[in-house]
Amino acid sequence: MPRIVIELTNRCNLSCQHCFSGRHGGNTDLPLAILDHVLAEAGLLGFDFIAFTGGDPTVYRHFADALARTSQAGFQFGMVTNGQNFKMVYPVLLEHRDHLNVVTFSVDGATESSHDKLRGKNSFRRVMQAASICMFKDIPFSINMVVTRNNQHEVAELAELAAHLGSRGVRFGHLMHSPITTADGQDLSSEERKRVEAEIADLQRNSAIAIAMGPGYFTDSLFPCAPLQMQEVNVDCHGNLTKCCHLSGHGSPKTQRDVIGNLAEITFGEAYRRLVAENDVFRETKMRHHASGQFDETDYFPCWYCSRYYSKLDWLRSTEPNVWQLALR
Amino acid sequence: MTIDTSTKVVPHNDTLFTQLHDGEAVLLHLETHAYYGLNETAARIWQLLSDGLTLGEVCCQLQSEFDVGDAEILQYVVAFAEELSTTKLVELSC
Repeated sequence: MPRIVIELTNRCNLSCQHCFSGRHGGNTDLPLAILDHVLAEAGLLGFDFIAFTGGDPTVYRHFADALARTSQAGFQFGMVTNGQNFKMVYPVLLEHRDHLNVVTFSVDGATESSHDKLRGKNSFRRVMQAASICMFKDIPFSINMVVTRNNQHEVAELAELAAHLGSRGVRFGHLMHSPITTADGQDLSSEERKRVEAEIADLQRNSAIAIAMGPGYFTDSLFPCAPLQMQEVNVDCHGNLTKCCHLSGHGSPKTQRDVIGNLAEITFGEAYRRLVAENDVFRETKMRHHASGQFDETDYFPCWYCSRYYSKLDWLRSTEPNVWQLALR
Repeated sequence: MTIDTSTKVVPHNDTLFTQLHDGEAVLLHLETHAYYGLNETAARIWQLLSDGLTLGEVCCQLQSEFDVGDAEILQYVVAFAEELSTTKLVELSC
């Protein structure tokens, strides 16, 4: 289903080691007027699903109001959360149960120690409590894990945990490079990524629940993800319509070419039209790049390619030498 | 071990108890993934047991809160403690 990812806030109640640097340490909440703006126009363009993100969406000051407005506008919705506030907010979700598609919990390790190493002490217990509430109250949920050096050996264990908990499924995703993750040694090399992907592919064949590899995996397809297929757009907490939630807020203020326009200044329809045009240019450029034989092996990781294309990785040139730095040309 | 009115129940360190807004609660064991949804009465029993009361003391407390008979309530509380023990959510002590 065509969907809009809406970053309700860049505030967060955790400070995770693998978080995009500076992305979720902000103090900005999306104005409700922007949400209204999107809800009023997006349906006309075929969008019928809203995915709320953050920061953590549950710390958004108008969280209950946002869900009510979304439901009233007839949209299905989901959200990605670290689960730390779930005990407080689940009644609000139950109020809008008919419009709730799924709650996705970020669980970055199959064990308390590995998850807490990245996300902070007691965070694993709180997200497990959140999952137990979902089991009891019949709230559909899934689990998302970002694969890092710290937790790469726990993918099978996490799938097993998710199945035990009654999760709809697990989605694994690669880490987006940031100065913090690189300095901390959390980034996997391209070969290590492919090894983990092979393990996940094996899980997909044998697991009792749905297992997926999120966008960013090694692929020959030049346009494998929803944003590049115009099936997903992102609205950040500043009201900007941007190319993709993975790129949003990433990089320095000077590298925001992925920002298409601000919805306080232009209509959603106009922003979408500009995004289509931007996407056409991107697709043409990438196809030309590929056809000319200039692709490095790392370019088959789509998020890496986009990060380079939108100049999100300039900081990598001044870090200690590593395999990803060598791939920058 | 024989369970009687002097038995105490110690929640396992890996047991997560979550009190919900409507008086119900959920238990989840982190290692075994044993899971229980508790109604309002069971949630109350859990809280009393967690406070370190013996099964007998829990029964007395419940009688003051609910309109139930001695034998009936003891049977209920013992069965609850046994089930929690079987699933390793708690350990029993004298």
